[in-house]
Amino acid sequence: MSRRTITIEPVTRIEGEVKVAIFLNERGEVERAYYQVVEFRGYEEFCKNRPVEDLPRITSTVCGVCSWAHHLASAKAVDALYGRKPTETAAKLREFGYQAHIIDSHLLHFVVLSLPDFALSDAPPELRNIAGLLRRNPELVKKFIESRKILRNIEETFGGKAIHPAFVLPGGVSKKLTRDDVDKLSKLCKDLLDITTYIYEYFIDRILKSKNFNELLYNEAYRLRTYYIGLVDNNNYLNFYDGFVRIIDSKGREVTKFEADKYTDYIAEHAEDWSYSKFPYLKSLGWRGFVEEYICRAGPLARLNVADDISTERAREAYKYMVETLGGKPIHNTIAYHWSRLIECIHASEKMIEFLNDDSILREDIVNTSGSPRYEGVGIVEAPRGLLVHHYQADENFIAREVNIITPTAINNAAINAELQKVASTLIKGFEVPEKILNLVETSIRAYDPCNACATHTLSLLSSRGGITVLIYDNEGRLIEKLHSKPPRLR
Amino acid sequence: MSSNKPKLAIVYGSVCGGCDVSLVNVGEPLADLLTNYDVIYWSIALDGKLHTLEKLERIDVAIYMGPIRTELNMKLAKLIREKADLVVAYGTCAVYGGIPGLGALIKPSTLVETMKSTVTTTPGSEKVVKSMEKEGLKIPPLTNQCLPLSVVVEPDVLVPGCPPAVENVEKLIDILKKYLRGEKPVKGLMLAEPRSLCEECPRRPKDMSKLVIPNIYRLHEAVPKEDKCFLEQGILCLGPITRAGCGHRCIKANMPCAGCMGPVQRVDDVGLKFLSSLASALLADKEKELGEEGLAKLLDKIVDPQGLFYRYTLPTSYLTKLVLKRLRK
Repeated sequence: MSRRTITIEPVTRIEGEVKVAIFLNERGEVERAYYQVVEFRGYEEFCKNRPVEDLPRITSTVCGVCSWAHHLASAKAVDALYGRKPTETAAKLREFGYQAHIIDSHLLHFVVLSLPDFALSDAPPELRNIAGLLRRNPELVKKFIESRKILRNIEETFGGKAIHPAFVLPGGVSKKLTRDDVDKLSKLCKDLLDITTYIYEYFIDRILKSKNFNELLYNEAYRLRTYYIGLVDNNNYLNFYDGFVRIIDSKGREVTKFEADKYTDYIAEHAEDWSYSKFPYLKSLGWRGFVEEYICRAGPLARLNVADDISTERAREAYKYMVETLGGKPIHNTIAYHWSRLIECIHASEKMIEFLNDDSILREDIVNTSGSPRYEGVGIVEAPRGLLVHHYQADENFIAREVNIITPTAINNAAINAELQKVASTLIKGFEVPEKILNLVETSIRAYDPCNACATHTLSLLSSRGGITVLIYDNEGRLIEKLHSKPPRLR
Repeated sequence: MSSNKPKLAIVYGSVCGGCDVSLVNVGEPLADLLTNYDVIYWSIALDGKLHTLEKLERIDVAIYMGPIRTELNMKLAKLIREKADLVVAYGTCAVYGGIPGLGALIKPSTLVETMKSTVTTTPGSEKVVKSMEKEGLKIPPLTNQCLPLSVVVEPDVLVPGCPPAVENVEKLIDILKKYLRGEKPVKGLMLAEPRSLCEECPRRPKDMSKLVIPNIYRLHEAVPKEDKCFLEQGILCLGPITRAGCGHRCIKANMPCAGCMGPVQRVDDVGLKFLSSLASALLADKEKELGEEGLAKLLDKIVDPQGLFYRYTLPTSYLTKLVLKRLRK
């Protein structure tokens, strides 16, 4: 038997264009597995020569699933570039609106993209989706649908548009919050907390206790002992919008804590010719390839690992429960990313109610127009998927000259590859690979909620996500067999 | 999922995902749609296969999101036009090219080089895989142009908006419901208003013909007031040349229109049209005092005409057509 390649092309129920290539040796064992981002959009180039104050609205379209994260990371880079610290009111309004977005992205991912793998693991592929969930668990889907309306409404109150918002100015925000807004938001936020709590409890009662979920949660293949990176506030508590970047090692010891504008001292990016997404790594460790102990992860689980605690009550309890259940921090079980997302949803819901009780959000000082320009600025937020960096340099006329964006999916790129290797090696034995096994390979990827439009901020190259396709090549690289179907090739 | 239901496919160009989310955001009407149609392809949500799409002789409804950036995008665009009875261009990218269209005049190789030379990228770090694995690891090359679906094939329904506003998505779902009963919309139906955003803007001055633009300010130079026409404040707003129908959400958020709904009916080039209306309103009362030179100096304050006028429509602009024509010579 000759060597073979298994290709999953494209990976489905994720955002963006990804292909998996698994190389098998003569005995049908996995030799090497690659997670390839085959999408490219080019933002870093065409954002050049634009007025920097326009970048928050332009770069929000890097990703429609986490548009608020880009909008706000960009806003913070622009603030710094103009030397304008946002007023306290503005910072609060940004953070308030952003909580809704975290929930928006997390619930969408949990219910539509991931839950089918756990709640419908026995279903055929054509029913392993939201339509299948609607049949199996209409109550949950109803709650989810209700949450879409509420979230849209909250996001529109701040950003005009719920997706690709128009909300920030250098040093602040464009619109004050009114008493009427607060009255409307009070009801919406309360209902939202009910829904996030419901979905969390559904997860605890139904999914966490299920055999199928447990098998994955505690499976050694789905576990990486890595470094973690994330934002924490002054008290080392979880924060999505602002704070210090904290890095911990696989034992949970703090390696460093730094402010946004120092990021180039700590993070560098490695490139490979087989992916349009780069591989950020910790400068202190150097690029060591896809070796678990030198990799750093971002995202919900990373955030909960780097933070000492969560400030709100219900989320804190849920957080404690997860940490206790999984035997203390840092938690290395990748499938716990899902759990972390739901804890964060509760925290964000509670946080919004806190903001509503803070009268200073009604103040009128929403823009700071003074400050000394620095012509360079870095903005870092926690996107739903993890640490997001926007870094701009401008000329004396505030026209962008250099743009650098590091997205959380890029940060996780090395980890996803390393885990893919582990999972594929564990699950794939021999040349016969059933669809169910390939879906388990995809399940490992989905845990990271990768957003590949983000990962490359680029022009999509391969845009048909044609379900599962398995191509078998011989050792000369010739295609010898296709198990499902082959999408049309480009040139 | 019985097979006698009409077949619906949601197909992508170079998407950001916002259009998907806008569709999910309509809530119940979408659930109805999922029940009444056999959704055969929508890869963010389903594990549907491309070969299903290719094998089918007929698709009833196909929704296309994102701009066309690759030959595969192109192939899919043509495939759905050939097979689907009703083709929907969903979102500004599919209708006009959208923000990724800003790369329309940049060489693909430059886009890649920049990505691989940013400040944090380790120089010379790029690793090349060994030849054995090369074939299996091929990544597809870029195409030269970025085009909206509407230029490549003729859609039946067009839904502009970045992403489409919920009101227009609901209208689309109504159309798809009527389609179930055999009613087909008129060809080329645009789910937006033919008139300009100004016509429905709550800040519209009483007499638009007397609109005076006092100066030109960038957003770091002037804090927009919440009740006054942006143009009257000297903040450039694309309202006069942009289609209404978005619910003027950006205006409500106190931000000027950036033009994502595309040009009003019968305007071919937004930039030219906007400049002509701008010139007449700009300093209308001080024209003599300033003279041509003064006016030109003021227009210089439009620091990024391409990104301002064509932020969402560059691939369909005269500018792009001219440049590409020259390049071909």
